[in-house]
Amino acid sequence: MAFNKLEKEKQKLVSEKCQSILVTLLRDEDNKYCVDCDAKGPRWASWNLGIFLCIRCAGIHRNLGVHISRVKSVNLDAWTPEQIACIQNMGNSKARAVYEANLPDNFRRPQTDSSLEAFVRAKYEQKKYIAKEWVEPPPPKPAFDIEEELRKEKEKKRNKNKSFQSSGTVGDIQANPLPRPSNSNSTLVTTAINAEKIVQKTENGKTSDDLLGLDMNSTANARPDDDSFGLFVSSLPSKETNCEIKAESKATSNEESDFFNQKAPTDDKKVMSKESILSLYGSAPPPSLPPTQQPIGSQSTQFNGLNSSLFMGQFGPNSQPMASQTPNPMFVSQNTGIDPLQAPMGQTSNLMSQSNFPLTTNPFLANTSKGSNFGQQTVQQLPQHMATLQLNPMPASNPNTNPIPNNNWFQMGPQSTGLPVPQPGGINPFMTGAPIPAGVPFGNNFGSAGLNSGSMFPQTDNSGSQWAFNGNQTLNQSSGVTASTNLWQ
Amino acid sequence: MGKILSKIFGNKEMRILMLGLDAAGKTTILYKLKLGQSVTTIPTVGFNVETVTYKNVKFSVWDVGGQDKIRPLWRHYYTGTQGLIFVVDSADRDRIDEARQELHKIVNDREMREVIILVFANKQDLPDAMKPQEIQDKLGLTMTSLRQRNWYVQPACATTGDGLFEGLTWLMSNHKT
Repeated sequence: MAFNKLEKEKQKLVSEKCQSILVTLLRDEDNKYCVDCDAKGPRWASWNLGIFLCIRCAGIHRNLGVHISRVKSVNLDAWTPEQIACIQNMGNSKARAVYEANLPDNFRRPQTDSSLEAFVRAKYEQKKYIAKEWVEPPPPKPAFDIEEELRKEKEKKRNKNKSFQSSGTVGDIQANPLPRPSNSNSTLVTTAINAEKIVQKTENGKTSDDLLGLDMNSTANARPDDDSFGLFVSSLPSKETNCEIKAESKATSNEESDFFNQKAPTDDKKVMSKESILSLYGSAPPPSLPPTQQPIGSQSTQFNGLNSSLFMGQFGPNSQPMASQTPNPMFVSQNTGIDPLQAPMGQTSNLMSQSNFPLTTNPFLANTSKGSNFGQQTVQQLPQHMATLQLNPMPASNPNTNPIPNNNWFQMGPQSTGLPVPQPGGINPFMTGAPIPAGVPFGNNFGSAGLNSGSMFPQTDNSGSQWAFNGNQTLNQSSGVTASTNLWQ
Repeated sequence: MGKILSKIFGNKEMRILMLGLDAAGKTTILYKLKLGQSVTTIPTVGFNVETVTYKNVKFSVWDVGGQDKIRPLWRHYYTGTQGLIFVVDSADRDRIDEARQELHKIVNDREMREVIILVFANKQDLPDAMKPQEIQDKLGLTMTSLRQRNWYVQPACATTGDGLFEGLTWLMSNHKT
């Protein structure tokens, strides 16, 4: 039993580590766009090809078969260190260099479903544009070994306890290589890396900086408090190395200030995401959510807008299992930050898929004969699994109060406080079988299917959305018994 | 009234839950059954539901996304399910054991004790696809725990539609009303 627990713990650590690596990879400029169609903010990957994809291209890649592409979701799948290593070794830029080496110069990436599929098949199945000299590397070693990591962590802790005062931020900086500012000379940067130890010393000895005549600001920033090595170092540098070191320490202090300003990019992102969320869904998840309420389900909003084909239901991953894990701030912020970026893309894919799943709810598309067929079908099915995403006015901690953009067909307003529960043996035989996760152990009520999107969102504890079925009610009516009690009430 | 009529005319209904690992082909099967055409799908992050009427039986088929982290949600669809369709990617040898584990988890659930089990050995068109017999063995269907259950492995190819309606036929003829 205890062994089992240990294993689980380890598993958890592995998946957390994988997630954080993925998140860093996705922050890379290379990986901010789908490798095949350039859609922004890919959240899917083909791990054997080592690329990041948008959900639409992920769908196409799955059609290729596992002998060509193995698709995984960044957030919704469990990753192994081996798979992570594959992605680390490739990445979107390199993959383009390999698989698109012989792409015609004036090539325009196809955007329609069918042409995109043809392109993807040509690219990976027929390997039409592949670099001739490309040889597939042997499967890489796992990205990390969790046992090793654990041991390191322990040691680190021990070291920290021992020399808490002397080990300042420098060690941390070395542990977290950061993207260098673009204006810093690249050679300097590399030397800075190579000579990091020297730099450390020189930095530690503030006096050397005085000798070098560096302006106090940067050095003060870098090492304001540590003077203990001053005597050693002041005698070290000759004139020539002085210059080098000067430059190096500048680079490092750049690095360091980078480190301290690390929040800035994420802040940027938050601003962005806030905007996009606001425009798309109405409100942004407050950044200061307590971790247990921080729903990965916020991702679900992304998908809601995405797939409004007939009854294509989409739900986000249940927030609870994720949230019950140790909160990973990176993970969370990335969730809230990036998803909205994908939503617009999702909508385009939605438009694309309309040819496949005619949308009766879209007046523009209901004009074909097929569309009217669907209209019938929709109407017929409507009472059966009509379920509304209820968005109750919530305390600020509910991140899912975002009106979903494309479900405006029927209202999901807070006016509905509850929906009828299927009565056993009731009028609609269908209803008895419908899943009613009332009182599910997650403590979550399920957000549910809009007519056109069939969305089902497991919500955070206190978001009041519920699975419920509008037996014979008109759409907006909300009379009836609630399927489950609102925990927050 | 509707019920009486359907009794007279012999209309039956059957609630089907379709599960399986991600990328097994569940959504493709669903829309092939529904529309009779192969559609471009995207990974299901949620569920799809359609009613398919075949030989006077109205199947309501629930297709739930199969990504690892959303599999815990499957059980919320168990209630009232009369038939399970478990879809397997026959070409994915690396994950057949994962599929076995998931299948056993599902069918051993208290709420799924009574359901009949149809396994679609999907993607038979792909090179090196496992044959039904192999799927059956690798899914552990002959194991003691499943021996007394009513199951059937149907080879299929969702994109062409091969085997799909044969599967439905098996479901309706093995469904006890």
